[in-house]
Amino acid sequence: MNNVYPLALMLSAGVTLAADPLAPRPNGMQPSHPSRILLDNATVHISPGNTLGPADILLDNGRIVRVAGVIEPGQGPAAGAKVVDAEGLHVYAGFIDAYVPVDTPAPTAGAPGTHWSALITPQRDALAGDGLPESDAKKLRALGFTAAGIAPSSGVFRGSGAVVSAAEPHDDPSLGHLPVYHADASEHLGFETSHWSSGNYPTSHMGVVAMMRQSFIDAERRAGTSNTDASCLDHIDPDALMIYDSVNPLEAMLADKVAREFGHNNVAIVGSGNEFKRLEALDTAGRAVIVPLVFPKAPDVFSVGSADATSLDDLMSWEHAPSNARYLIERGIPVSITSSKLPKSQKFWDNLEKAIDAGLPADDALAALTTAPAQLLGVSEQLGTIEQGKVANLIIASDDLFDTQADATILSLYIDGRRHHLADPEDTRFDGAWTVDVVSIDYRSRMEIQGESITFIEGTGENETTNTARKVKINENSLSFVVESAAGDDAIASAKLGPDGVLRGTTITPHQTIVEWTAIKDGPLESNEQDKEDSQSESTEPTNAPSGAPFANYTVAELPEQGVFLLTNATVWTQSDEGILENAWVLVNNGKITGVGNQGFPRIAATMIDCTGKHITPGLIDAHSHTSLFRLGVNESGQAVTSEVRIADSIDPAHINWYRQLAGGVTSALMLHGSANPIGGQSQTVKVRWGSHKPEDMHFEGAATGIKFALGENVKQSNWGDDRTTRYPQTRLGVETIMRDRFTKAAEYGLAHGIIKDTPRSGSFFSTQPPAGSRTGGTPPRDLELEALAQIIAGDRLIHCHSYRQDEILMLCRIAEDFGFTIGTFQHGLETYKVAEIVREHAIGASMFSDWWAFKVEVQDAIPYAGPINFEAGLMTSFNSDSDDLARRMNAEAGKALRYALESGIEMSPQDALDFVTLNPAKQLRIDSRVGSIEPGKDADLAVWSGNPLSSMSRCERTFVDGRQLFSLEQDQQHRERMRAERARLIARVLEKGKPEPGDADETEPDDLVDPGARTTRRSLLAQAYERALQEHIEHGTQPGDCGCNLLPRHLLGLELDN
Amino acid sequence: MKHPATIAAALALTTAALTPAFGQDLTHPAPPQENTIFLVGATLHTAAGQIIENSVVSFAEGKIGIVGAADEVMPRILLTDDTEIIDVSGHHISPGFIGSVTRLGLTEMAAVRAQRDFNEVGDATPEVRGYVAVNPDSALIPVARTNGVLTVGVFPTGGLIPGRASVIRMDGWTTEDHAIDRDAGVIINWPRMRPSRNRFDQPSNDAEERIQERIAQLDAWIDNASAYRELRAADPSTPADLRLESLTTVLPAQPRGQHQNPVFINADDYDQIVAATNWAAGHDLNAVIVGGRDAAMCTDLLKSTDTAVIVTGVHRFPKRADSDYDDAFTLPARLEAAGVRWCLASGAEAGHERNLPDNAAMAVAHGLSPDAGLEAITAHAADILGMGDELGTVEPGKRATLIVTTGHPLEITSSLAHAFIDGRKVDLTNKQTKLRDKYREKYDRLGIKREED
Repeated sequence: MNNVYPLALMLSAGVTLAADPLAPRPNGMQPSHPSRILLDNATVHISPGNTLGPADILLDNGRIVRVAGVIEPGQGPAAGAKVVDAEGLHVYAGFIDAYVPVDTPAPTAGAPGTHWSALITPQRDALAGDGLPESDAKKLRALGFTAAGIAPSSGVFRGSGAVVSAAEPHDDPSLGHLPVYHADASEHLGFETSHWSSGNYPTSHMGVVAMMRQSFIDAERRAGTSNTDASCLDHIDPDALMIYDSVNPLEAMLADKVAREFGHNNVAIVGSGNEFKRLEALDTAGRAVIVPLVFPKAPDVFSVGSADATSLDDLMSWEHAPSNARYLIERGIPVSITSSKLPKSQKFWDNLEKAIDAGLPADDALAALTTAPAQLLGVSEQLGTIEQGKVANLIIASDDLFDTQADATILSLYIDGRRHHLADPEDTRFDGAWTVDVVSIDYRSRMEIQGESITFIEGTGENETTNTARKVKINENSLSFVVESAAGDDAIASAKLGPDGVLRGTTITPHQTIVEWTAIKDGPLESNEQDKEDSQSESTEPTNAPSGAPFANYTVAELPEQGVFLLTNATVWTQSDEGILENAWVLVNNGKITGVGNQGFPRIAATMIDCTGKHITPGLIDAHSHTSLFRLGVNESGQAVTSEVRIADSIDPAHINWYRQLAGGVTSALMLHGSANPIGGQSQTVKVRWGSHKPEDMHFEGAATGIKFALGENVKQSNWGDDRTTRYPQTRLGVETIMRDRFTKAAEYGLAHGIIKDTPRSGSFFSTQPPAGSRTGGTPPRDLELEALAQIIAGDRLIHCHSYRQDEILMLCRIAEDFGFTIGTFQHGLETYKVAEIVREHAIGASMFSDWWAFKVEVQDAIPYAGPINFEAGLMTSFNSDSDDLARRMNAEAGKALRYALESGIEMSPQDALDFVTLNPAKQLRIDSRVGSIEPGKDADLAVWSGNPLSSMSRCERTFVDGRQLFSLEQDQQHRERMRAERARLIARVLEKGKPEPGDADETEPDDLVDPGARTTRRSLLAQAYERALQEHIEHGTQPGDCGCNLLPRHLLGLELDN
Repeated sequence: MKHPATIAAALALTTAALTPAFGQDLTHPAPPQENTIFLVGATLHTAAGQIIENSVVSFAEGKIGIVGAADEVMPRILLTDDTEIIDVSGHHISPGFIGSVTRLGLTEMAAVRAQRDFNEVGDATPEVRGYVAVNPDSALIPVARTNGVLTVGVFPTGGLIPGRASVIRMDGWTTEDHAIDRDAGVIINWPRMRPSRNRFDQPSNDAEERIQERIAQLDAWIDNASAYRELRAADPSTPADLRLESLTTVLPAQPRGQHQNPVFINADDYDQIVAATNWAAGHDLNAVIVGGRDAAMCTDLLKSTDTAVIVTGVHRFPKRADSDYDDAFTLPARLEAAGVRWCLASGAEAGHERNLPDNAAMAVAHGLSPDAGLEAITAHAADILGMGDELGTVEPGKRATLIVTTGHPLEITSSLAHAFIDGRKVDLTNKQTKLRDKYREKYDRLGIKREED
């Protein structure tokens, strides 16, 4: 077979190649076939919006030579061209799939220049292995793709991508390799974590991002110096096109954030199909998006139970997903459409047609498949349009591909000038109604042919009988079939269409009776038109892009105004020296509190809110929250010390629990890393700004930076199972030493970098250091882990330390003393009540559960009296939630402070009690100059309560953040009405469309979840149990007592560990 | 209790062996009531439709005697030497709280395997009874008691039929002292009626069939128990089967003088509740729906079948992100308005049962009347556990199991002044109060106190 060409190629387009120095000489005859082709009389879609027709295209040697209305064959450049009749056909530039992940060989672990993490392989090259395997190329060709941007498929730094031809490889090696249009088109990145079960860093998105940051920094440093050693990091080029793969829009936003931090301007995102859920955030990012056509199937709303369980998000996603590409294009975002990521049950062209039916303009669709990917990947000079000099990559279609009513088929492709046959033009010569005559027996019947369906009809009206033929075969002018005869036998028939239009046939029965017959076409079948009308009625008005944030649930169309509000006639808990004011007013202006009092309120033009019978308090502050973090990861459990990771990289402002907490009066929260590690990640103080588009929009500007530390059972992995016994530390003894070790390193690092000023400092460590100016040995490379720790010593970052027992609490106090810094808070700090006199000297305070206990060994001595005892002993204490449930009723937690104080005879005023969830956490987070009390000049973060806020029978009725009323019972009512109406409309639409086919399993990603184990093949029962629990966490967040210890298989807790 | 299936699966799979730690409480059980006690001057919430200001409640030998207004009753009373009058003016009296669904006594620290006695091996284990392993020295019991929880249902968990519930009092030397009703009903975990929407659960083509199979298993248990009872009645020498025997108390047509025990069916989802209610009606069983998240969707069905609902806490999340944010908080008010027979459990882990009244208070903040809120954790809970004749209200003849609180009994800032179980004055200290006192003494000795600001 070696030197035998496929017939189609022989006949159409033998290519004369310049001698390829990489190809072997021919082993035999050297073919040199003419390569000119003239496509005659086609409708030519030169580029999006520019159609010429009828027109001719001349190809030569794999390139487009000329495009014109008429090109005379046999003359000039068209001399010797094979003329292809393309009358009635449509020609498009070959499609380019901008993102085709391919298997690429991984570098050998430990080889020179490799990174310690197998996820960092920027040296990988998509061309190094098989490139684009023919099996994939064939699938692409069937869809109309002639070129592919191939990308290494896995890792964080994945390596470089290339744009290659999707042609079928040459059988003759002397004809050379398939063309590579751009060998180094892109660098690929993704947010791939290690599987949780491996325990390898990074297990979380924030770990991935931290690793990206450190790698970019290291690469930058190397680029600035001359190196002759080996390092894969030298393959990171800040000016290259960086393409980040994303499995949800949160990842897309993370990619944009990292790119902005490092000033990378040439960045594109491979989307998930869910971009419509975060349009505005992605719009401001403005990065090009490569969009997959992943559409969720219609939700099952066909029983009361399943309809009620269907979320509005699912319903709206079903309606909006087909318009995803259009929405992005409407916002001016460059969009390429990829065939990758398509669920198995879905077909590319079905979905593309759905997108067009949903309003995607044909020109935009064509651009997203041709010019946009060409431009993105830097191959516009060669690909994307039908213009002189470009590569002869063309699609020949039977009709307009982007007219969904036209029923067009791709007949063939030209790739590099070589024809690739895909389908025969539909043969309609037999279609129609025929009259059949059997002269010998004077018999007449009607015959209807539609494609390969042949039906005989006798009689009319009620007497009409039909007889359908089987085994129909049509080949050019020949026709054969099997039909049941009057005697009940199968008769075999063959016929041939003559040039006179008469079909002459013969039928033979099993009894060898031969009957000859003729048939004459009467005309077309009638039913066709009806079908077309039906299908037309399906297209509907294009939907408008969802606006506001978040998608679907309690959407804020536009952020409420920072107006002037005067709240009157209330009991105002100022949490200041003013105390609790009866019959008082609060004035809010432009986001700030500008006045508070109980003497006749000011006469000012303001929105008046009568609060008769109501109580007003400062917005509540939750100093321990993990809300919304579970999607991207709350713990980086891959290492014991992870001060380089930032919890800010995990926050999702769209999580519904933010709204629920806002409705409970919470306006600020400290977002904390979990407690899997002695030294965890950097914390983030946020305001509960419901309606934020980006995580950064929630950041509390100017809040003190912090970091999570943890002690005890979680960090020594006591409850992770018997197989987790090798990570240092495994005892409380080791917890102390690893902390001392890192602080020592961080102090040395901080002094060298000037993070810690070389002035005399308190702390025994510094008394052992050489005097200022006498340090030797240069500045070590920038290290994000040590940098964050040095900031602690410098006093620029507060430790919030998960802790239970008094011994470990005392231990950290002594470390702080030795390194001369003050601790922020002991989080949980359940036994701070045993050493309050020491803690108050070394920490701002304790931030506790009010009354949790009994869920594990180290919480045996937790008592609800701890807060009141600390209060009495002068240790400032706050109550936090550590739970998305509890965070909805923090006012009642303050009530518990009062209850257990009174029960114990500890003198505590109601105002003191409310301090536990307002002023005290504000002080502990160093945001008390802005929030925590109702005083002129502070932010207007307020909660209005139906009654005494310390009562568990009161509810929050309004919440202001930054002087914006983000929650009120009235606004909530409006949300409900809108959501109910939208549900009703969408459920009605689904019902209209009828029940989905059974077995049409939904393989799309529900919502935009991250699968931490996306690449596992076999799931054990254990893993499933864990993953169900993880799902609960994603949906509901933390629960009292289960954020780490009780309810999950213990040794799988790497991701969720806390409390 | 939030996600029973998950929890059960997780626990069943957890093999970590941990050093047992013992929750041990050194509080002494109360001695029997000797004197007649008069509580005088409090605001009395009878949980039977009355609030009496300046009230008097008397009890003797563990039973409530007089209930009325102090100025009417007291002048007519002849006090004897052994009468103890306790002035509780300014306080409130209510029935002791009833934690209707708990694992109290069967677990100490959830993280310690040795301390988990609530999930027996096997899919159907109706033979096990909750009270049997209640640890009388559990530190958790006095802690819940200090906050007014004086009676609880002890429910084994896990599997299709986890076992039988018991009702216990929160004071006693032995399990037998604790037990009030050893066999209060059979517990069933109703299967999930729809294939999971959870992406992590692999969809399976036979999901529907498996659901039907689970229900058929339940049918078989009931039918077998019924046949077994009939056989034993006809021929007492029929070999005994303890598992089937343990199911006979929930069957219809109980022997004279014995009442038909309920089946407590854990069901949250609409489809589960509807299926469970119809299933129970089809077998003439007395169904109590436990969980009941979607119960407000089928109140007519529940009422027409006289099916009661135990709402396992309001501190739960709404079903969908687009559900009303306060969906779980308003469920009690919606059930009450619809006239469904219901009560409220905490839905909390055993150690947090003390916060039961906070659940009722949250429901009150969201539309339930304070009286209905109190009844939901007293009178109605007693009724649904089958103890309505003895417990749950402050009425003559009932057990003197009641609390005296410093404020409204549901108010979070209220604490207990006194508690009585069967007239016995119970110790309100516990391990936690002792730790408190110990460390307050430390600071007292050191002279440490807060600086007034």
